[in-house]
This record gives sequence, C-alpha cells and structure tokens, in this order.
Amino acid sequence: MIVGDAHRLPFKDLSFNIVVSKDSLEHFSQPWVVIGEVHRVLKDGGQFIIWVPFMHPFHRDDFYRYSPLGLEHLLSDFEIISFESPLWVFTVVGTALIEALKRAHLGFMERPIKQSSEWLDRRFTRHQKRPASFAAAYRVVVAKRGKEMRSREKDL
Amino acid sequence: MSANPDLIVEVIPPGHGLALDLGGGRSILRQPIEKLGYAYVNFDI
Repeated sequence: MIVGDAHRLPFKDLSFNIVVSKDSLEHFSQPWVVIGEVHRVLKDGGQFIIWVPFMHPFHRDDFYRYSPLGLEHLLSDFEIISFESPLWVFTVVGTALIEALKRAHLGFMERPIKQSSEWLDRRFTRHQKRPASFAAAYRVVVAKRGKEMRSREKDL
Repeated sequence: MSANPDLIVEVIPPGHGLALDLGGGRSILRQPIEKLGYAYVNFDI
C-alpha cells in the first residue's frame, strides 16, 4: 500500500489502465486537482470508475457532495460511459433510520436495514440508466479520451 | 460510507495492466480487481 496526497500522485503519466475511487471523492479538499491527477496517470482510453455518496450523513474528513451536474462538470475532460444511482430512495430512508436507531442504542439493526434497503433499490433501479435526483450515491464510469479525439475537439 | 464492493466491481471491465485504487483503505477491492486481470495498486489517503 502507498500512502500519500492524492493531489500529487507519485506516479508517471499514462501509468494505469483503470483508476477506481470508491467512497473517496468526498474526502478531497480540491477534487478538481485530484481528478486532473487521475487524468494524467491514466492511459488513453483507460477508465475512471467512481462511487461517491450523495444523500448520506456527514462523516470523518468529509468535504463535499456532488450533484450529477457537478460531477459532469468535474469530469468534463473524460468521456462519460455510464452515470447511474444504483442506491436510491430506500437506501436514503434506510440510512436515516439507521442513524436514528444508533442514537437509541439499537445499532444492531443496521445490517438488516442496510441489506433490505439495498435489495429494494437494486430491484427498482436495475433498468434505470440515468442518475436519480434522490440518490444515496452516484456511480460514474468515464474514459480518458485518446490523443486523436482530444486534438479533434480542439480543432472544433 | 461503506458501499457494498460488488456495486462498483460489476462495472469494472476485465482487462490487464495496472489498476489504481484511490483511497483504497483496507484493500477490499484487491481480490475482485485482481480477479478481473489487473495488478492492484492501493493508494491510501
């Protein structure tokens, strides 16, 4: 494991075939810098896969929430392959319920509530291919455009 | 937040080369990412 500052990734340009960010984008103080670093270290055509909370409680070192528009803006140097919210309203309600139960010392209810709300969301969102406005989290897959496409875009 | 890892693994395409897990923490994605064909690099923050 390498520990460091994601705002200055210690890797050469074009090093990685994929980059994954699961539950981490909300923790960066300057996410636009980190995303620029991801773009630098990804190979052309490489994919950046993001899972980021939206309607979720504030937690340790938690700086930001991103709307679908904000994510599209931050990721505008990439090509969007998919943008979804597999965890939707049931998980949002379930998470709020878990928070309340924890305060009442009923934290043992967390696991069954989490599992059942996720099951319900997966059932109701499996055909939904667009980000929901009321989502527990967003899942975005983007690809770094190749040199050819980038120069074509500059010409336009 | 600790989302079910399957929710992210299911959209990672199989491949080869290096995979960077940004904020990988306890490396819970190591096994599934290696199973997809990548060499796993955990960069914790």
